[in-house]
Amino acid sequence: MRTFITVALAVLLAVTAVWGFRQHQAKQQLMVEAENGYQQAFHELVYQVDVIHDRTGEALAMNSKANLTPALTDVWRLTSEAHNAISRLPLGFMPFSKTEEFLGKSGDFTYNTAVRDLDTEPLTEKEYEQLESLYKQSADIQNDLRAVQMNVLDKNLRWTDVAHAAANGDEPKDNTVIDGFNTIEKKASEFSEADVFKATQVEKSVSDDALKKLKGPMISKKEAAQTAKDYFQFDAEVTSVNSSLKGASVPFYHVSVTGQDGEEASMDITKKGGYPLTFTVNRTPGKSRMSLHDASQKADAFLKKHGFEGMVMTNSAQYDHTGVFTFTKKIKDTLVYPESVTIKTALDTGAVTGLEAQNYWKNKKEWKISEPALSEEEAKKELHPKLTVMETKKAIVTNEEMKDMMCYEFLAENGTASYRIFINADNGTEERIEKLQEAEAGYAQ
Amino acid sequence: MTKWKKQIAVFLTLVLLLASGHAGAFSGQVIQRGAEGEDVIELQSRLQYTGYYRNQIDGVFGWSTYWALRNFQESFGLPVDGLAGESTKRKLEQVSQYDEQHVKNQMHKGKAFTYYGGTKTSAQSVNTPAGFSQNDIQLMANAVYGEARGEPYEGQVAVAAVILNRIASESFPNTASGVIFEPGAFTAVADGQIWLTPNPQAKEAVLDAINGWDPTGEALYYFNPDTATSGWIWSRPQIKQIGQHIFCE
Repeated sequence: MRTFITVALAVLLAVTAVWGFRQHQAKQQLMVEAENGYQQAFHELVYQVDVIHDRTGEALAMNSKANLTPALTDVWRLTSEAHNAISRLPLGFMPFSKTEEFLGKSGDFTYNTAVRDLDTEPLTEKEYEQLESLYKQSADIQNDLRAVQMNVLDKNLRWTDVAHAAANGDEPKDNTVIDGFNTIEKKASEFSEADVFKATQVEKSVSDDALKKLKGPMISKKEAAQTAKDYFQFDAEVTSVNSSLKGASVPFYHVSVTGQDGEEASMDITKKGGYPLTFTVNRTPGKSRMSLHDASQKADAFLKKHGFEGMVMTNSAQYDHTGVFTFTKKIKDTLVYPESVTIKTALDTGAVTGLEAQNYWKNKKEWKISEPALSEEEAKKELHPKLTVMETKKAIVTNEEMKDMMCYEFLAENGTASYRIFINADNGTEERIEKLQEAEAGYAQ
Repeated sequence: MTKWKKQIAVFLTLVLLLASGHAGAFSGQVIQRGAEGEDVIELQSRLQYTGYYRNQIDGVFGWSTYWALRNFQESFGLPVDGLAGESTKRKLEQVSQYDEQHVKNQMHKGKAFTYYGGTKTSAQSVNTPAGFSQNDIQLMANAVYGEARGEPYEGQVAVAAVILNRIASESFPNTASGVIFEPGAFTAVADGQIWLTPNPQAKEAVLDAINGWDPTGEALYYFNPDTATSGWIWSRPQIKQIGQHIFCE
């Protein structure tokens, strides 16, 4: 009997050992796979920064415009790839955003200069300086990255260890990698403080300025609660009113309520003046009982009631039993797109279940609507000849450089697709082109 | 006797006329761009029958339906507003036929479809916000569910808004998948909870965020103050607390 037990135990032990060894092997293999992925991303990053440095150096010495454009295009492509490589490294636990921002800005700069016709518009003195500083900064990053790379290769450091240490919140055994990246990040912050790329940046249209200038008396928590109840179209009981934290662009109250039927809703109201920033009601609507059209009229009435004057509907879409609408300020015959709100309505009761007005308040100002230099017919000549114009409007939109532009808005089609095209009403530039999205076939079911 | 027969014939014709005029007739609603459903299927079928609509019958009032309707209104001397109201619907009923059963059968089978002029139907489509496919939305819903399923609805919209704010930011990748799968960015990705099946609420939260709702005031980060392991995250300017999460710049 005793021998039987001994043998059984021995067999069991052997089986466990084999099983354990196999598990270990499998784990080891997975670790190696993950490690190889990280290593690839890291070494690619170093290589790409190398090439960015070399190519910017070449660009600086180039006199021929025919060579300069390909060099700048190359740098633009590499910044995007380097950015991509960083996002595959386990650096989520440490701040590395300045370096990424540096790459992003360099990409914008090289893109803008590369797509330009350098024969008619050569690099300015300032842009040449920017290219020089890009060259210097990429050298700094290159040096630090190479130092890290050497350590990684020399000491056989593994990225998976860095990732694990970070996930568990403790310090990794060897800090070389983290220290190296911290140094790079610190230098990158210095670049951004020096703001070499300031020249290409223009004042943003979407700024918080208008929001900060909103007038009105300071309201109390109690008043905020009362205001919030006015916006919710159900019998609401206020459960909490909290203040925003220090980093908010303007101080606001965050009001939470519950309704009789278990609806949960919350709303942000500015402390100064009690303006509504955003609210959502969490209730899944029952079966639709009203048309999208009727719901849009309810939304329109809701906006008028709450002081959003002169708004017209510019977009509408139905998602199951909810209607979502965009309303835009219209001054005379001109649509002012920066001043838009989004509003949603339940299609069972027609009650408004959400409003988003933060951009509206940020962009709100007295608009000077100037008479456009081009006529509608003249602007139409700038369109691609194969397009058939279906609708024309006057509109103010924010272009890629974040400037507000007076435009003609053309809705057009070419037989297969529809487009929205904004032509600058003063100089005929194509400011923005959007391909209008059609519904997507439902794959589910 | 013949007179009686005649009366019956006249009566039957009348009944038939009335019935055909109202076979599968529109409901009372005014149909506008963006709408989905039965009335839209009928509208597209009738516009296709008359030759104004040349795309797939998919049950969503998109841009091509809108142009077809406007062209129809213009040709028939109706006010051109792109809304299918009472007079437009009556006109469509007069000049076109609609075999509801046939159209729906074809849509159901996803078959090519010749009866209405040689164009295809497709299975019922859905509206998606510009720039995002249904699969992008699904992936984001997975992330939101994995990260914030115990949070209030607003907190779920907020997590989706942070993903979108990161896509827009220079300091993060430019795609939904890039932002979500960035190593160490989201705990739900690290521990595999992202692969739980999201509930419809998570998807609604994502749709709201894509449609513009941002309860965070443009936050790029958030953390749970009880479990945060990184000291650095505390140094970010904080905007607002929703449920368990503090959102910061």
